[in-house]
Amino acid sequence: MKNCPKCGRKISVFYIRQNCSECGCDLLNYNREASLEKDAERAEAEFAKLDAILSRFIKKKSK
Amino acid sequence: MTEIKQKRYVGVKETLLYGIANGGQCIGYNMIRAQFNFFLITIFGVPAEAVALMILVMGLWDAFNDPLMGSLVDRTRTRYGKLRPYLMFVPLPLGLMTILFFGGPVFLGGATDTKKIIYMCITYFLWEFFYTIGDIPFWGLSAAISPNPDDRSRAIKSARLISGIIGGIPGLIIIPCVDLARNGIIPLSMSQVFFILGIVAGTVGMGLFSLSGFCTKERVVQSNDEPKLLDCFRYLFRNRPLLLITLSNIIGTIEGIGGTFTTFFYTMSLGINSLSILAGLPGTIMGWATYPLMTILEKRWTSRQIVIRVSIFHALVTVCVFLAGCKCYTNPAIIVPLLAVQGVSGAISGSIKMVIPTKMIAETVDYMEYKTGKRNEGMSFSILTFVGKLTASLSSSMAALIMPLVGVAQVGEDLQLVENSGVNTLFWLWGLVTCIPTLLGLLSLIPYFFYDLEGDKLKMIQEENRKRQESIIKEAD
Repeated sequence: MKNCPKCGRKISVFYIRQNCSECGCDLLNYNREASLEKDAERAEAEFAKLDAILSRFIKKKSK
Repeated sequence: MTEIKQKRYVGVKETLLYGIANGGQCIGYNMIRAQFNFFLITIFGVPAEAVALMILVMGLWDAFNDPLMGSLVDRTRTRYGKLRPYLMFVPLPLGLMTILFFGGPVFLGGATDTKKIIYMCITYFLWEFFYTIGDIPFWGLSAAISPNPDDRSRAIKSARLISGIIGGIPGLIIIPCVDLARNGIIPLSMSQVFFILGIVAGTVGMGLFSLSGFCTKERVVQSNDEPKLLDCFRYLFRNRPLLLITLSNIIGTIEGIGGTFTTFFYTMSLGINSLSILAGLPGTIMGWATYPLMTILEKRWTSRQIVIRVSIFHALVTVCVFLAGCKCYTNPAIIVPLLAVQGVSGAISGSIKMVIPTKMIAETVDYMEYKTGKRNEGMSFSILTFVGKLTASLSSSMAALIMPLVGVAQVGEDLQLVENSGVNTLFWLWGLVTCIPTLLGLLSLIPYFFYDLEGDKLKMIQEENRKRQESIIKEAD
């Protein structure tokens, strides 16, 4: 995260506090639901890819 | 809403990286633990008494250090989470301390004993300190990586499996390197060999370990206000399921005594120690294969049922092995295949016990969140790491107590038969490497009969926690 999602203030990678020093926004939990959704989509895509590889491998073996 | 909870949040890549990170962590750990006495006494030239005293003091220090670090972790709140900052920062000093520890003989080759002892104490104390600050958040992350218990289980399996493979590398490298240096085949002294290996473990190992901080995410929402220091300890004693798991682990120490007698059994009863490699090979392979196959058991039974049933199954196998070999325990042609069968059963049981109780500890964190509104990954997993260290020393001490009873005496690093002891030592040894430890180990199942954090109760707790976490997220938005 380069900027605070609420006030737009630049945040250094070394700034580790949970809240923005300017507006107090919770930098860890802000927009968490959407971020979790994104993670879930990515995870499903990765597992779909893995399943496809495994099923191709199993088919090859059974031939 | 329940549908959301069952979603997978941790992808294949992140699961693998979490495992690889644990592998990196184990490279340094296994190198230090496996070569500890040999390196310090033989290579560095530190007096053995000083090494023994330091181990004792460090063991006592761990009793305070681990929970203290756990409470520190639980009180951390940052924009990266409460566990990941430690995992990002710790690999650097930990890697440096690994290099400095193994660099002792190079830096202080001709120094006095006092200087060597001071150097050893400082470097090992700092290494242990940084290792603990890394280890507790690492295992704590297994509970915070996802709200989905299946994601957590996959992460733990990946860590245990990959660390078992990568962590074994130092053992394979050190022994040939030592032999090559000793025989003058490579133009390096032993001190230089260990220093180079220390640099490799410190850089490659810790580089891999840092992946746990940079390539993972904490997805379980923490309370905004951190718990007070005293509350961290109070919560620990209110966590009944965690106390039951801890008690079971401590009682289970007794199962570890078999390992102490295995080498002696192979040497004295079968005549060839290297037969243990042959007997152990199927078990090693089965141990790795168990990790992916464990999912089948997880779908059918609860965690508690898996632990109980697998332990009973393994105990029955060892009883059968004992009975089958009790008239011919000096015949390698019969005993080696029997021990291979026992090894396979032991590996299945061992792999399962490496994963399921860790997953259960993650569930006890959910339980404490339900009871207090605060998650205590740090404190809960500090108990896991502390008990792990404690049980290793306890099982060695127990084995030492049993030795004279079965006609065995420890002379230096070796075990020897006591003449005219009046007991059939070889028969007792056969029992001690087969069914005695596993049958006594069944006592460790007693606490599990009082453990009720499963099924509908666990689901209800996780559902309540999810609601609480949703309200924290809404507040943040």
